[in-house]
Amino acid sequence: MFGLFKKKTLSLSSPMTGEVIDITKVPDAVFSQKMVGDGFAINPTDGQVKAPCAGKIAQIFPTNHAFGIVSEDGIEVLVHIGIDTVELKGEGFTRVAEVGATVEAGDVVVKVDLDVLKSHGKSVITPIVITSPDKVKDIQVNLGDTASSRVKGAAVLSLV
Amino acid sequence: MVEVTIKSKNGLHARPASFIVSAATKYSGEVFLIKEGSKINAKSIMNIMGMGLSEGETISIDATGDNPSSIENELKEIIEGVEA
Repeated sequence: MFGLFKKKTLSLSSPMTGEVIDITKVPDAVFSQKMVGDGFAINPTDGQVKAPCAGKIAQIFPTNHAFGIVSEDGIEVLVHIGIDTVELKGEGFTRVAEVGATVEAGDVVVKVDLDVLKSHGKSVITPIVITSPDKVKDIQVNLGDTASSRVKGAAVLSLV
Repeated sequence: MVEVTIKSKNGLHARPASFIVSAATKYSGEVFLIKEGSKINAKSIMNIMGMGLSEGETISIDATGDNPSSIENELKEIIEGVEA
């Protein structure tokens, strides 16, 4: 019965090296106004994009610019690499993992050439959003350099 | 059930998918997008984006519940209205 009082949480690691920023600072209203979902964003310095939690790769979008992971608890996490990057039609993105694969947090899913995004005038800021809001009560984000948030996670979700 | 053809040159990516979900979640019944036998929940942004729908493709919108044609037509208008 003590289990009743145990807080259920899910820790998300940063999918990219860089700086964790507030989702409201993302330069695209669809994300900053949380229309896709709540979460956080990364201003990345490196192009390896990793799974933020253990789970199954539910989707990798045809242009490889976004992917979704579903955790064991059924939490859906969408990683959208850069802003308006759907317009690049896959240029600069390389798929590393496959849809349906089971991954651990930190496994590389997609690689992106950040210079290709910048040369097309695209922001590299990468939102990470929870697309199953009914399963999450609260999100605590640890802003700042991802090196310092490695231990505590970039965000901790309190689950319903 | 109504049919709609995607006009957005970038297909149904994050922005249009979020518009579809915000309309669909207001509907009390179930609403699905159907393409070539794959049927997905229109209230799930991840499932919509995962269909990878691109310009020129035709899908069906099917709702079950109260007044299904109202939500079907609303989603058809949203999908047809997305240009980028």
